[in-house]
Formats: sequence, C-alpha cells, structure tokens
Amino acid sequence: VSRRARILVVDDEDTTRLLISGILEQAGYRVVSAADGEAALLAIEAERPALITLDLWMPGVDGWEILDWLAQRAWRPPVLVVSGISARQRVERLGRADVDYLEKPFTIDELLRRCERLLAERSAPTSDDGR
Amino acid sequence: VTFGVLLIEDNLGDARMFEEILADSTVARFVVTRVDRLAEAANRLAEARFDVVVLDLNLPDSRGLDTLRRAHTLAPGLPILILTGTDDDAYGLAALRAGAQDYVVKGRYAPDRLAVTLRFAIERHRLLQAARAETLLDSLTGLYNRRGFLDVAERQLRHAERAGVPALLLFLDVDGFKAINDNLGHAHGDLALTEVADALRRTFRGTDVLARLAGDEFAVLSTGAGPAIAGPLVTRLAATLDQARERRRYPLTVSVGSAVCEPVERCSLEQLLERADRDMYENKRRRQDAAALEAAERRRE
Repeated sequence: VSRRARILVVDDEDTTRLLISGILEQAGYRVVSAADGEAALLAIEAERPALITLDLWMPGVDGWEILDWLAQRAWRPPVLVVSGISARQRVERLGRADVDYLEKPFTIDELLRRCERLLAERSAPTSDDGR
Repeated sequence: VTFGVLLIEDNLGDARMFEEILADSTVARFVVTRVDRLAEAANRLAEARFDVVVLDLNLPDSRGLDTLRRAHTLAPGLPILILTGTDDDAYGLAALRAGAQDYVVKGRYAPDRLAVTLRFAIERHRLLQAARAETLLDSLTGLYNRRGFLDVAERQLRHAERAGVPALLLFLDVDGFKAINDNLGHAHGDLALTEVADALRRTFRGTDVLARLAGDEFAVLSTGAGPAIAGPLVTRLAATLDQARERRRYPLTVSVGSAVCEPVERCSLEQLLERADRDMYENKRRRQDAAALEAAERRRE
C-alpha cells in the first residue's frame, strides 16, 4: 500500500481534525480534510480519497448519514470511524466489511495499522485505480 | 561519605575539641574548615561547597541570635547547628525558631553523639527542603507550579525594578491539548506537557522563571529582556518543539502571548499575567482565523 494514498479526514472539531491530519501527513499520506458533513460529501466527489476517517457526531449531515450515502454508491472508499466507545455496537451492526471502527483514545500505531489494512483490503471496484 | 563542615568559632580551644571529637567519628567523615568571623565565613562559602554550618553565636563581629540570622543570609541553603556555652532550653528553642537545625552545648560532646547530631541535622534539612520544593514545583514537569511562580517571579520582578531593567512575561497554551488527551489518551497528554517543559528549558536561560500554571498553561518571566527579544524566543521555542516531531509523530505547537514591564513602570505580576494571557488568546484566534480562511480558499479552488 502506498503511503502516498489520499485520505479524507472528517471531523467538526478543528483540533482533532488537525491532530489526525498531522499524524497521517507525517506518516507519509496525502491528506484532505472536511470540517462538516456537507464539505465531506463534496470532498468525496471531488477528491476521490482512497480512505476516509470519519467522526460520527457532527451538526448538519452527520457521520451516520455519510455512511448511508456511501452505501448506495458503486464507487466508495473504505471508512475508518474514529469515535467514543458508545458507537461501537451500532457501527458493528452495519455489518460492512469496508467500515472499520477505532475507539478513542487510540495509539498512533493502531490508527496507522487500521488505515493500512483498510487500504490493502480495499475490495470495492473503483473507477479510480488508474489515477 | 564525607561532609564539609564550616565551623564559625573564635575560641581556638573550643574549636580544637570539636574537631578532635569529630575526627574520631565512625559515623561519617567530616572535613572541618574553621573561621573566626562571619565576614570570613562569607568568603569561604563563596569558595567551596559545605554541607553544614556550625556556629558559635558570640563572635568578634556579631553577637546573639543576630549572628544566626546573618549566617542564614550568607548560607540560605545550608543547615545551621548552634554551639552554645550554656545549657539553656529556652535559648535553644529560640535558636530553632530563628532557623537553626539543632544546638549542642560546648564541652558536652559524647564521642559519636556529635557526629550523629550533625548527620541528622543535614538529613532533616534535606527533607525539609524537599518538602518545601514539592509545594512550589509541578511534579509532572519539574517546573514551578502556580504558587512557586507567583513567589519566585514576584521576587525577580521586584529585583528587575530595582536594577532598572525591563521584564518580559510570556504566557503559553498548548494548541489542541484537549484533542491530544481525547484522541491519544491522558498519558500522551502528559507526555506533550513534559515535551513543552523540556522545550522551554532548552529555549530559555537558567535564570528565567519557568512554570506550568495549570493544565496546559505555561508562563515564563525573563528579566533584563526587552520586548524585542520576545519574537526570536517564540520562534526558537517553536523550532525546538518541531525538532522532536519525527519521534513524537504528531504536530505539537503552542500559542504565546507576551507582556513587557518597562523599567519606569511599577507592574504587578497579576497584571502582567493578565495582559500576556489576553495577548495569547488574540494570537491564537488570529492564527485560527487565518487557517480557516486558507481552508475556505482551498475549497473554492
């Protein structure tokens, strides 16, 4: 998996978005970020990220709606949900192979490992492979 | 173990007896330096390191408890043991209250007792110092805590005022500290705080007063430094923090505000802290606004 892959970081909290972006950038990924759900939908279309890290609780279009929206699309990047323990069961109940869950607090190693694995397992056919 | 003893005693006979009994001790080795005046004691204290001061209160250049007070100013960090000619409990107690560690009556030295008394005085003093330091220092970073800062910085500020030099106060706050705690855990948050403390130590002089005031808030008081130096210092601090980025694996930055006390003003520390705090928030907001603007522009492209 290329560390040059593009990752979209979605979180409405500036400091958390900067922190996760900073970790991924330093690990060699290209990072784009979105501070709310609407911006995230636009960025998915425009940037075609190889992976999304997703905050669930946001005002406006929230993380759950983004997951639903992605489910209906033929091309979709895998998603790493980064959230508190309370959302674990609900995410697991979705039963989607391309949606993983990382509980806060997490270690930097664990975050990077999960990202790598999702990028490696990316099974959904993509219109994006040749780029 | 060897202990350095500064014996301040003008009576040669008393001094010799004291030295001989200590020389026979099996408790520890004592190296005794004798002087017969306070003025001379000041010179010796400047030249060499001692572990304890043994003091006769009646000297050619000073008498009574005043001698003790003056010896204290000469050797503020050392335990002082009083040699007295009279076995008077009330006098001994007064000496203790004036800051002596203990007192011994001349001529009544049981051989190893004197050595033990000295040894214990040194140890008691050490424990006392440690307990005192604990209430003034932040246990996580080793910098001063708020109380220590208010105490030490206040004295530095008054000193600067007398010397007619400016003082610079910096107020610092770790950017996104809550996010570090929430996402990477409190242990990582603590690590971030110690990294900031280390960066401060490497950036500022040993004579500057460094403190963690609370949570993720730090302060520095640098005397003799004018406003011009604030900018370069902040840049150096940021660079030092960034050097450790590779190992840390995430960006760690601080927002800084400053306040200067010019030699002509009389400033209170509280006032300076408030001004620097306000300046820090303005700087932080300005940076956040700039980042938001940049992000918005990037989206428009």
